[in-house]
Amino acid sequence: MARALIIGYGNPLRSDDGFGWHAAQGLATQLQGADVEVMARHQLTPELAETASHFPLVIFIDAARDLPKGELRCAKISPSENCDPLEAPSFSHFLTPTALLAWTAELYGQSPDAYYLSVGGESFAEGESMSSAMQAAFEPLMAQVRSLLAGSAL
Amino acid sequence: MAEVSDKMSVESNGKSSSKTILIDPVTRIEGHSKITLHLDDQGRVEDARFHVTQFRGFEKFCEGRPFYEMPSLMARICGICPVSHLIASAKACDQLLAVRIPPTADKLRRIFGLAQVLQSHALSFFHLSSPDLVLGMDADPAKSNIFGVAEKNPEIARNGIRLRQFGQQIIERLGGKRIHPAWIVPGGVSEPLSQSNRDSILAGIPEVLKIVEHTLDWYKSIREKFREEITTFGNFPTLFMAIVKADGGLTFYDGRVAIVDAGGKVVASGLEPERYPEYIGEKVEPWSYLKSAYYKQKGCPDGIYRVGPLARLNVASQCGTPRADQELAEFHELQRTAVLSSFHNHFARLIEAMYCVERLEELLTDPEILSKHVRSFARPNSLEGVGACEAPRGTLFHHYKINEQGLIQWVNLIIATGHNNLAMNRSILQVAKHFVVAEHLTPGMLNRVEAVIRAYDPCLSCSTHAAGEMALEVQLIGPKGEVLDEVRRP
Repeated sequence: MARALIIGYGNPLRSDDGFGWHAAQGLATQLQGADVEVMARHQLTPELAETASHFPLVIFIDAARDLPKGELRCAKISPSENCDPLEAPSFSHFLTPTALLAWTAELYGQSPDAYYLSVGGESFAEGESMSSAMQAAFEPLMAQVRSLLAGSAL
Repeated sequence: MAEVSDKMSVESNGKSSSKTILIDPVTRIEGHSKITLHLDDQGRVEDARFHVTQFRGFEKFCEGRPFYEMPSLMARICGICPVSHLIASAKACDQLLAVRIPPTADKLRRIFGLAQVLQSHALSFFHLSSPDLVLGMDADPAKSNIFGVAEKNPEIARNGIRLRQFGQQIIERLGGKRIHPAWIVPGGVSEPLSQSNRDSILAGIPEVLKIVEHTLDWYKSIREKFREEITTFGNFPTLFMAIVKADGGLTFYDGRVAIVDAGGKVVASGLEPERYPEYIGEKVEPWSYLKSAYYKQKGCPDGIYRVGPLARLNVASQCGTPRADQELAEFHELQRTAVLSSFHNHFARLIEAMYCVERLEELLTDPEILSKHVRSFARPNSLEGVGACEAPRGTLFHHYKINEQGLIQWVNLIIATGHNNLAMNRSILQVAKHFVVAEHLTPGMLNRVEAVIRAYDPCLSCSTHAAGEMALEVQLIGPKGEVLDEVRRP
């Protein structure tokens, strides 16, 4: 079994929103191996709950609107405990990380350690290029991911 | 604001006792919309409208683009059914090229389309509608989601995830990614299928076949609990339209258009998709961005018809695969005429899922399926092309006109939800008249208004990753146009 699952998600056609997606592409070339599985996704979808159940550590990477541009935040997260309409998938095909973890716990009986790495974006308009602040965040993000992987050695 | 929900409100202009109920947003559907229920002076539901409040504009902003970009552009219409748009668009472009695509490319496109129908039907049945089916229409709205399903019937929730995952994995194996793959191109597909991918997909068939069989058994065991909903959920005579094979059998990829009436009698058959303007009329309403389609020969509103799973199984003479045909025989036992209640879309969806799995196995074991010849090349040889297919939610048309330079001059799209628009509006009215009591609104009443929309599985296009968008609303409106009550979900 791989040691960690990294899911970078976002829309690469929405400028900085694609940060997670781009980060996963980069991490995949550097980290992909027997111990780490890296996935680039547009959004978190229900079937990832099953995938996450096979890993003791899950790291989510996303862009954030509520952080200063380029600022990296690392938060340990756990499954959401209630069915807040904003958390529960009442809508349909996308999930928040905590809702996805709740699915993993509820349906597969697994509660992996999980971290949510987010970087403040500057522009979420249509476009395939990211702001310089976002691009500069790749290096500290990589260091943070390596740190989490090192700290989670089993 | 009424107390029953934070997404519903009732308003009055003070000049009349009449009211309007607003449900806003409508939840557990694909896209953004609201419902208004119009009451008369006695507080009875008089009219109902399904408003699609999002605007995409694909028909306009594609003008001027090179035709070969169209499949990739059109796939962006939706994050749930991009493959159907890819297929219809590529078929329209095949006509612009005036080429016949290689036989293996034809089969690979079919596999791609079936995988998408499977994952889309899984999403609709398990993720969007199963809370109603497992927990009941009157369940606490706070619990009426997949978490509630997981608590009461975790196997259903897990099966839904697995079935959708299987379809998504096929799309990813063939197209390189799950959402917006660009593998289907004018003239065929861009890459052949590898043996390892073929074998991996085939290995999963027995498991998903069991899931579909199990779900069909479960659904049939609980169906009778919904007798009242079956009677009132879009249970009225309309026409039904679908593309079928030359022998009248079920297909999602290619064929001729056929129409049957409520009695099950064939009204028209062998209609060429390319000539759709001769038999399909389109109209617009000032209160919705969604076009309404009708059968031209009967005019509007008499030409109201339905598309999608229920319609396909009413129109098709057979599925053509053994297990699905067994289920189709049971489907026809529901009603001696055409099966009219839109509630039965759920059953039809599961039968089609069975067909998809069986047909996938047939196609993947075809001796030609690993052929490397998967694309025909040509320059534009025609200035107009129409592509049509059966998307998960119904018949889909893409119609393009280009100039001598191959630049798009004009686009027309008719999407399944547009075909169903008149029927959805009539269904809301039927449900609201039966269940809604304006003086004593309950979440269960309004959930049924939403649930009948979910039975159609409308796809209002939602492919971006934007945050904080609303999903649906329901409105209660008085005879003077005043909003009296509304349900709105943030």
